[in-house]
Amino acid sequence: MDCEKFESALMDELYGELDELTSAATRRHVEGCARCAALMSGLRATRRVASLPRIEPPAGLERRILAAAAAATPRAVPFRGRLARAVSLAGSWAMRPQTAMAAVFLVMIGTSVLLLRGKSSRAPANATVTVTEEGTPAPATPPTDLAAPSPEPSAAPATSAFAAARPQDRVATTVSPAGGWAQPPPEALDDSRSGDGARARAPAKTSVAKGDEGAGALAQNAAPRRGARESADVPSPAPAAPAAAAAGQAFAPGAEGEKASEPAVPPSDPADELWAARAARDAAARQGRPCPSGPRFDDVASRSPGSQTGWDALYEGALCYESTGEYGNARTRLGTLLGVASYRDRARMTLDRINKEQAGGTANAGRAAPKAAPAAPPPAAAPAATDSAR
Amino acid sequence: MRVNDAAASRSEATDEALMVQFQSGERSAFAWLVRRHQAPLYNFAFRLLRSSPAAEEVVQDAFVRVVINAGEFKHAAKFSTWLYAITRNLCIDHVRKRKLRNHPSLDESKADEGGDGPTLGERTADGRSNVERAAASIEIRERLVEAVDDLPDEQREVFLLREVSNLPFREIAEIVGVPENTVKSRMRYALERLQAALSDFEEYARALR
Repeated sequence: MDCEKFESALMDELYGELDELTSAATRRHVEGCARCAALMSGLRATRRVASLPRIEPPAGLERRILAAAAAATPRAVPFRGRLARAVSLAGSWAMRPQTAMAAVFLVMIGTSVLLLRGKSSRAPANATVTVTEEGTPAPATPPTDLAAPSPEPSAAPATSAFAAARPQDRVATTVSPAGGWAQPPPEALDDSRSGDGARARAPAKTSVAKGDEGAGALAQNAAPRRGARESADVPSPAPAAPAAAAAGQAFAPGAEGEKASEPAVPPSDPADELWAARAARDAAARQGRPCPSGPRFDDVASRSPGSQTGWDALYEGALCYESTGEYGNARTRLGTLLGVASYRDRARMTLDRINKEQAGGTANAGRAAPKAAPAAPPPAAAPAATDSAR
Repeated sequence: MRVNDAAASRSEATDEALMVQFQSGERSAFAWLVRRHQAPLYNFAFRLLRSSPAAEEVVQDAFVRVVINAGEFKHAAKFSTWLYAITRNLCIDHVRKRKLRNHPSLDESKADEGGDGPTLGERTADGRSNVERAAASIEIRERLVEAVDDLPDEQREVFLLREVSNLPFREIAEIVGVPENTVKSRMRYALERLQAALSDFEEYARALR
């Protein structure tokens, strides 16, 4: 250690806020540097002498403070207390395994119903509707890039389709990625087919021309449908834990059109938010990233003070901050938990560990997977996800 | 026995745990917070404002604000950080109002030191019985109080938070809203000023050994 580093560490050493290693280094430097030794001893002596006498507060100050506090907001605490107790009670019920399992099943059933309903309202993935014009017979063989809408022989349904359909009624959807909307089926341009087909072709050409004009409109109409269909191609999301649903993992990209028709997501419950924070933490751990969920755990803890959910969030937030090297934040939260019977021992152990880590200079920043230990018995789905991440 | 157990657990509970209990509706937890912090808070406010009535008013207001804003305390910082930040801001407001009113209490505050209340010599903790030593002790302490009063405001508040309230530098930085290194610099300047004011006292010389 040189004099410059010593001066940087001087105040910490004077007030005992240095870790053991650095403190030992400053002491060694002082032994070998007269200037720094004089500096240290002078300030130490000043501290000893500059001890301000402690003044006793005026008599009755505590009583007056309590009276003023009681007069200031006589009902603030009871309401808050009632609200907090209600949240605590709801939280304790929510954390019971039976309630959690029931919630998981409800979510599974609900998402299944929504998705099934959504799917049934859409055309099947491989369904196609041929663009037709009135009076134009359908081609004998269906075009290769168009799938028949039904397994029946092409002529009859095609005829009926041609008879009944108007361009704007039915929209061709192609399964091929070639973007069938922009291109008419090749058979529509093929005059070598049957007479009817030939007759169909001439108007078809016209219709193609018209179709070209209409293709833009049809393409426009197709766009949202394509997006919707693409989402239909996405496998329906597996019924997930509330955390996964809340984290938005249930919906594939490109499903915005469908999303708009679904019921609005209700405000998240603190217990759900806790699981979401855990899911984000575990996902980061799998990718070797540090825990990103500290603020989320804090938010849950502040929304559920005094409840099991709140304590769990506070503890896991502390572990999160420990893993990213934010020891101050971790200590603050663990200090709170020292007053909670069910967390006291764990909080003490974690504080001891942090102190050792700091003293030993072991960097925990960037450690991806903090050891999470939920206090209450978690629902069946969640521990499986958590355990698999370790 | 149960009451004693509850009292024992409250006295051992951290500030944050008591605050959580208070937020849950337990008023007695707030009383424990008052009991724990009113004296150091009063000392801090008194040394900053140099007036006993002003310090009492500020401390009372600080705890009232804790009650009113209890719901806003999110446990992102320590309770003591929050409490001292409130108190410091109230002290700053008080000084501003005093300057605007050109209040004569600045002169009265000097009298508070050795006025109606017990003298410094009587109230010090070491209880020296030797007259000469007591006189020297009183003299150095008066010089110390003057020297602390003469510190620039930003150095004085850091000195008081560290020496009187015994808060770590990191927490002081949060309270006054400056980086930790700035706090340490201010503390060092404060100590060096006090060192210059006290260095010709025998006690200082003895402390050097």
